Amino acid sequence: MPRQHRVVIAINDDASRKNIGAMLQAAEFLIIGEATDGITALKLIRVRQPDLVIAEVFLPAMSGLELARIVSDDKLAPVVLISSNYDHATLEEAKLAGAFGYLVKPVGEASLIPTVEIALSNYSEVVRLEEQVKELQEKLETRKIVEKAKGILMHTLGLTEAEAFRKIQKQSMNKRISMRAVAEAIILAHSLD
Amino acid sequence: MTEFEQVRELVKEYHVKFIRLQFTDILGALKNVAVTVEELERALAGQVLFDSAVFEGFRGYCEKDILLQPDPATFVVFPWRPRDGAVARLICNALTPRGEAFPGCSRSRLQKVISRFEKDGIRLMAGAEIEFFLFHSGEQGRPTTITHDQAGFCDLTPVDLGENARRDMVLTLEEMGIEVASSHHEMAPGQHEIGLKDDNILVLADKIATFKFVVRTVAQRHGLHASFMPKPLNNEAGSGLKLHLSLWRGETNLFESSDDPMGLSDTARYFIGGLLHHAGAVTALTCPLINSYKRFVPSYHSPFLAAWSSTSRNTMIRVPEKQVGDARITLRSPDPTVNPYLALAAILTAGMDGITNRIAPPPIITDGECSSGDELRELARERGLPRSLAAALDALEGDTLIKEMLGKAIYNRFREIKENEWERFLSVVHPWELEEYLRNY
Repeated sequence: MPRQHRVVIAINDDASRKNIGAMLQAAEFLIIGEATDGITALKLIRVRQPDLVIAEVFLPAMSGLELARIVSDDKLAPVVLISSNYDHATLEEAKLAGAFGYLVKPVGEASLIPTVEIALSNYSEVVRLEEQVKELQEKLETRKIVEKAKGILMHTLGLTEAEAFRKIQKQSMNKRISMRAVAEAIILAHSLD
Repeated sequence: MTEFEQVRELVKEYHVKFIRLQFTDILGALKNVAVTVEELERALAGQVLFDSAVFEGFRGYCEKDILLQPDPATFVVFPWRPRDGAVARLICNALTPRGEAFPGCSRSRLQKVISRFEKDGIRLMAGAEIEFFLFHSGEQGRPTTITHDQAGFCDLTPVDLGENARRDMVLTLEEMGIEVASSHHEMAPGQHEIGLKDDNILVLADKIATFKFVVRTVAQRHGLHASFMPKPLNNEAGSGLKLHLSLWRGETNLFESSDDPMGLSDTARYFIGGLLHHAGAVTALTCPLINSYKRFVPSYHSPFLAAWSSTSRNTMIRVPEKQVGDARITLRSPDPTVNPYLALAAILTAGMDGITNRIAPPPIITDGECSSGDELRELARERGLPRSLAAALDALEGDTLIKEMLGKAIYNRFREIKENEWERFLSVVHPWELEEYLRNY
């Protein structure tokens, strides 16, 4: 059996919270926390680290939009918002808050389950891409730094490009530190002269 | 590259959309005006016009125009990243429209005091340990006095909401270039402490102002309320702002002496002498709330004595028995509700007065001198710090040196606001009074 997705639900009105909880449970989701206000929801999310958050736009203490913004800024989980209307302004705010889905009440199983499934899969794709971007950025940065250090070695020691590269590589292996760290040390030492 | 050019570069690199121009009012509250990146040049040129009332703690009569002059060295991009472009901040001084320092600007005051001694190559360095409570926010979003690590809520789980929040605070501070020396849970439930590394006092004052703002923001993002109130709970320890001080000329620590058994120089002793001589007035600025004085009720570890010691926890100044490494003295009386600029300006002024006029400190208090309750009270009578905000304000009124350092504009406004606060406090009958007196009188 695949791992059950863990969900926190923040809906103020008891009937619809229970209703949505029941539909999710029937679809093999695990409800790990329920809240009726935004602050309690935020605390629950921080502590229980769910895979998915379902929050109503209008919540006491902290609105669902504010909650979604914090949860998405801090990359805690995808948030699916629920509201009784879908006016332009609220939709814009939901987009800015980084929501992964938006459902309009009354919410039936036929719209809830596909929205939640798509949100989960989009979220994991976003996480994967973000990691990739970070990795590539780091590689690019390393390349720039190593290029600069090579330039310094070629200039000060009269080496060819290949020789300079090998020197950095060798030092990196001997000292068991990354080529980037070696390059940074070369640049630092050079700037001290 | 000039500092201004660096700011322009960083604004481009981080896609900054908004810049918050920050400044501290007389009461120590951090205020800010946001300008868009299009207005950056006007802001850097010090041409953003503002209303002086904001600096003086409230809107009132005689509002004047002031200009905000950003200090480019204080440029930082906020680490929480909204999707639609980053937000950065610059800390500002206030100038009059004629380009002079605005008399109500506490940051300019501190700079003025610093530059007076900088001429002789002398600079004060300070590190800070800041305590605060993390309380739960109620369901309506209002802060409560329920601490996070006692509330039943967290019993559910081994992940502590408060520890999480504090870790996040430390990371955020470091991302903003504020080096954290230490961070741990304090004595009382829900009480935390974060230590900031030594820096020159202007930078430290900027850091303390930023620190409070960051801690509050991060706490709020964890559904908690961070409070710097000096004594929020009856039966628990209060929150202090410990300052570790050392005085330098070039690379020489003027507090250090290898000939002395404590490793402490005469300069350090005179500095302590000056601080103790001006203790009352300094306290008005380092402990500025009515509530601040509830930390000074004589007890085992409240710093209520205008004295120094290496063993007692009751003295406002603590010196290590033997200096190891860099010699420093620790001021334990301040609390985190200070205006850091005015407090550090007062500390430097008082300490340097001690050095200039060779004010010898009273004998050092050694262990065992204050053990029983009666003895504590006796000591408090003899050489206690002011017991109330009113008493501290009186001491400040009588201290020409500190008053002159503040300047008429800040002193008069500070006194006005604080006297008003005291009168409002006195005009309310508090629950304790009813419980204590109603039945018997």
